[in-house]
Amino acid sequence: MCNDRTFPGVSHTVYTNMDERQLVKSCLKGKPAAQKELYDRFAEQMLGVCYRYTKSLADAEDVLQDGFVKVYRFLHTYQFEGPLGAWIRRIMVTTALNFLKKHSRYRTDLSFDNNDALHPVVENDAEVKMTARELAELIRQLPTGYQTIFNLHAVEGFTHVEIGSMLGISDGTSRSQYARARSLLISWVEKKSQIKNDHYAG
Amino acid sequence: MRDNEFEKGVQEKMEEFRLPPSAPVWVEVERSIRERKRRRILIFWFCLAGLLMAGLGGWWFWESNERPALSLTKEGNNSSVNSSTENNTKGTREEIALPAKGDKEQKINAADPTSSPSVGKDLSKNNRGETTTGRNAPLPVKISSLKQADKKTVDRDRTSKEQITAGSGKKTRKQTLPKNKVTTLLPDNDSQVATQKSTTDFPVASTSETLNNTEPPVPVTAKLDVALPAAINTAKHADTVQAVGNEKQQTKPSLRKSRKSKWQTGIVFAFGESRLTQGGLTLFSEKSFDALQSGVSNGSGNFYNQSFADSVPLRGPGIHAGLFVKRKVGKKTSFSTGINLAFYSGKQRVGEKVDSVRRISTPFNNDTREGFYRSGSSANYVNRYYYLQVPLLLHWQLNKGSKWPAIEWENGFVPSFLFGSRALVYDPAGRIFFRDNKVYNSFSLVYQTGFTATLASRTKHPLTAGVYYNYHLSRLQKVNPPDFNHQSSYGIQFRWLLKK
Repeated sequence: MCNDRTFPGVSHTVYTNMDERQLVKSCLKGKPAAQKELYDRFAEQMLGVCYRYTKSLADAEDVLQDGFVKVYRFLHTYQFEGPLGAWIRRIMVTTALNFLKKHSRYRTDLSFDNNDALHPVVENDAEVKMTARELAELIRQLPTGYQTIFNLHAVEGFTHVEIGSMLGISDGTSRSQYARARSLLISWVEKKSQIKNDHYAG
Repeated sequence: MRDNEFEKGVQEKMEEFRLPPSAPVWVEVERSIRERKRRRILIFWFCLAGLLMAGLGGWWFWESNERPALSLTKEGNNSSVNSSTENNTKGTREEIALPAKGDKEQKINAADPTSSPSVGKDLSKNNRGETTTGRNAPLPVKISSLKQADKKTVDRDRTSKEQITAGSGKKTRKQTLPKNKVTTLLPDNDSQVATQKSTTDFPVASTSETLNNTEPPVPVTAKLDVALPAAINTAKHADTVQAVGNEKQQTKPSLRKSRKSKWQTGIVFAFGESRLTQGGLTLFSEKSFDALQSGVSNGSGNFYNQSFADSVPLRGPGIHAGLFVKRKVGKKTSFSTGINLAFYSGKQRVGEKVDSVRRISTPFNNDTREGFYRSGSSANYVNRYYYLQVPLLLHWQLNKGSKWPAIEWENGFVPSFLFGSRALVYDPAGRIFFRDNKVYNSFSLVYQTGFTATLASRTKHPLTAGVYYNYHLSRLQKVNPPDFNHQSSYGIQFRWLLKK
């Protein structure tokens, strides 16, 4: 599902395809230097992805570690059809979702109850005037269910149908959860921006 | 909704969001990659070893299946003349049937089974001592040295000891060969006489064969393949007779010398109990867990402290099974090796399981554990250890083994490779148990001893049964070694010999 999806958060300008091809081939030959090079190229970016899905840096690093082990394990299945970064990012997202399902501290929080049919509709589109780190911290403040769906839809670009099949929920649930998450996050962003403005004004 | 400014802003921000991971992440990733590679290599070698063992076993099995035919010919060497005579008779019949009738050539194989290499003797001589081939034309026959004295001996033997009954095309020949002589004769008018005389001891009692021949008596060429002992071949039989005719010289395949492998092969299976000990060859000296928990003195007046009592492991089942090969190295000693898969286990009393993250520092790693057990005695956790072992054992036979079953005392070392584990490590500081496979020694040297008795030794596949005890000289846990850190196992073992 969505194997050839390119993730919007991955920049591909630094490395050419030829470089990636050679790098992948070297990794497949088991060259440690190439494996390290691959890790160095994508580790920071992917830890950012993992960080958004988890509640602690240690968990994010655990996901990153498991994800990279999977990357090296299944690198032979990479067909060079899309950017390597997008392929790795896809693995990281899947690993993060598995991590959330596996660990009880996330599992209990990852409930998608559909009792509340009504969900707030936020019309205003708040401008995000904060650093990436600050925004990521706010996203992580969301309840795990909201956080996951917000990440999948707003950042990774999955549709609600896809998210529903990934998480085993209906697309309606995904929509409602996303709307709540979005509403909550906008209010937080506005609040934070207000505090910031007040701080600078004062 | 995707076109909303908010989502665009979030995406742009998240694109530039990066976090540098800590150094241990790459260390762990690299270790996982190497471990996987190492496991693949181990599996490859294990499969290769298995294939080699299977091939070796198959070869031995094939060899052992082939041996009865060879042993039959070997038995003829000593006393079983009938079997050898039968063999020869069959051989003769087959050889007689082979040539075309027009050739009038009979080839008689009087191979003596005792000889190691066969010596082909093609004698082409009629009863008057003339060399002939076929019906009329004499073939060029080379008789190097058929001594006159030998001929006389043949004549004398023939008149005195040979009874030939010839009638209506059926000829029965009965020979009584004197000791030290090999004499192969054909009926008077039909064939030639080939004589071999030997001065060495050559126990041949008698030979009888029946020839079915409906052809009229014509001079034929007798081709005798005489297999003699090597001593005779080298010294006395320079008189090689070669017949070169219109028929190609047929070479008889030499009798294969029976090759008995010195290695025995079989399977071993053992089961019993295993446990972790404090060191030394002590087995039963440890206090029970309950006694330790209740603070019972250890004998010297000191009480075990609580953290010590927490980590006391209990017994569990231990099993090992595999293939072995064994060979004699002395009159009553033998050596065996092979490959075993061993499973050792031990129960560990633990408290409740805590399913939360905890950072645990060891010299190897400093990372978080998602779940751990508190110390206590509310539950049992079974620690499991899986080894690949290559036992190197010496066996001493303690008795004759004729009247009573042979009893052997085995001693030796077993290099063992820990290829898997599912066990808890105890952290005395935090009084918690957690899983960490990296703290174990992957290689350990094991001392093994035991006694076995051979049951049903006369059967084709004897079974030996006995008791064993093995003790891991190497420590199990290399990081923060606990008090109970040496694996030991004892129980009953069976060895089933597949090939003697």
